[in-house]
Amino acid sequence: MSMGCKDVLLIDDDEAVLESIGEILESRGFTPIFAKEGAAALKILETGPELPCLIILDMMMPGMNGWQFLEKQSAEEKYSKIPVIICSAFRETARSVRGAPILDKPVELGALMQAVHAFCA
Amino acid sequence: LRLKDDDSANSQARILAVDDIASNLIALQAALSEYELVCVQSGYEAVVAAKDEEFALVLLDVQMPGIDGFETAKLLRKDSKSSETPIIFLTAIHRDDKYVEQGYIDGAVDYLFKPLNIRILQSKVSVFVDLFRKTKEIQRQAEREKAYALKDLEIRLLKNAVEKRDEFLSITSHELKTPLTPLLLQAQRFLELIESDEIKTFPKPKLLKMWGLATAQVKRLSRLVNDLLDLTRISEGKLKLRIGEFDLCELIRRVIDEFDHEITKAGFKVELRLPAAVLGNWDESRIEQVVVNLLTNALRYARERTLEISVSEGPDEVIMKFTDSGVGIPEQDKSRIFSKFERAVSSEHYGGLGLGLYICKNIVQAHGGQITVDSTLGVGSTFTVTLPRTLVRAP
Repeated sequence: MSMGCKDVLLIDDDEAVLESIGEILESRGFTPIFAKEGAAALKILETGPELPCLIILDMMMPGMNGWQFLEKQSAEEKYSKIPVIICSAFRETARSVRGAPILDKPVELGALMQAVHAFCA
Repeated sequence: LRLKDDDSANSQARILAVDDIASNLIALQAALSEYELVCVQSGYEAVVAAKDEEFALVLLDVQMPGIDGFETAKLLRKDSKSSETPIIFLTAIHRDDKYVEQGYIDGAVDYLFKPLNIRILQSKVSVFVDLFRKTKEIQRQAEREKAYALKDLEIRLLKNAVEKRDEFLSITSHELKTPLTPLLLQAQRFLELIESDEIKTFPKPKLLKMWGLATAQVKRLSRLVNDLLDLTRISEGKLKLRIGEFDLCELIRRVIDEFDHEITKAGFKVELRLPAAVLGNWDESRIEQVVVNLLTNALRYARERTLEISVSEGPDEVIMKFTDSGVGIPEQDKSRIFSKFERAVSSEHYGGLGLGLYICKNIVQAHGGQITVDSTLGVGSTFTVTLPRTLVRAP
């Protein structure tokens, strides 16, 4: 990922969540990229022109869920360095992923941007 | 765990002694002093006594006035309590093989001849009393095991119910929190735009889109809350109907119009095969709920993007069918999907509370109708709702 990277990969099965977080990121000059589940997200990582500087990941999704995605992502050296923020409505679920920063749903705008800025300039 | 505690009653193996001559009974009591004897002096009294209590053994005199020993044995065999009780005939005169044979036919297990040899009597009685005690012990053991097995089953069912409830609570909180994220973010974004005065120059279509997104979340939340309220109403038996005449076809067209945006977005093609009008007396808002539920289920689960909704009329009922060309529902899931907290696809997380079809079933049944599903794997599913034209009160 280059220093000037502004791409943020949002993975969530809920369209309204994608849209609202996406609009906020856009308003701050980031480029949101949307995926509705893990497999679609992996495809974006594989085929996209550039790797995102951050992944915001929901855990409970139909298709490939958050854990399965994390397993694949961390196993692939190219992607494993991309920071991941867990964004879940299940507190316990989010905390089951060790070491990852967490955004509890409902997400606050301030908390969202603080988390994003921690990883992307 | 409560087991019938009749150990003391059962180890008390009592013997029924039947003889018309009192002194013979006294002699028996003396010889069998270590046992408890119930002494009666006629076949009739013996039958009555054996109705109340299961004896370990019957010592039965053959020659008695009134009903004799053979008759008494036949009667004892007919009664469920004494049908299996071993009978030892006591006889002085019927030594003849013919009589002995008759005695066995009538249910004797043994013969003792008077004058009685006390040792032989004691040892035979001891064998039968022992047998009785052991049989009872085996029975009690079997009962205990059965009771434990039942208890075990009960515990497993309860655990399962608790697990289902916990899972439901967890899903409910997840489902309620999910719309709050876009709602809260949009509200904070609006505040940000207002405070920075940016709102004056912000493109109006984009603003309206954000506003639409926020209000859609409120509707979503209110639908979830309504489902939860319906669940409570159903489990309390308080699902009330407000019956009035309306046109089912018009209702379906209206719902399809309202969901036009979702249908288009999901890439769905909905084909309507409806008569011009089908009037009936039902609860309009409840039937609308059924239509919306079946439609949103098709949108959510069907892989092939087509749905056909048809309405046909019988003399007494109206039949509404939703046919999708989806993945289909496996046979073993067909009844389960109408239960609460169940989805055909349960291992993966799909949005919603898993209450839709359960509520549909209860609404349709409250109208005296029924909802069924036909499905072929890989071909699709048809949900059929049959509604009586006039309300039949559900029992």
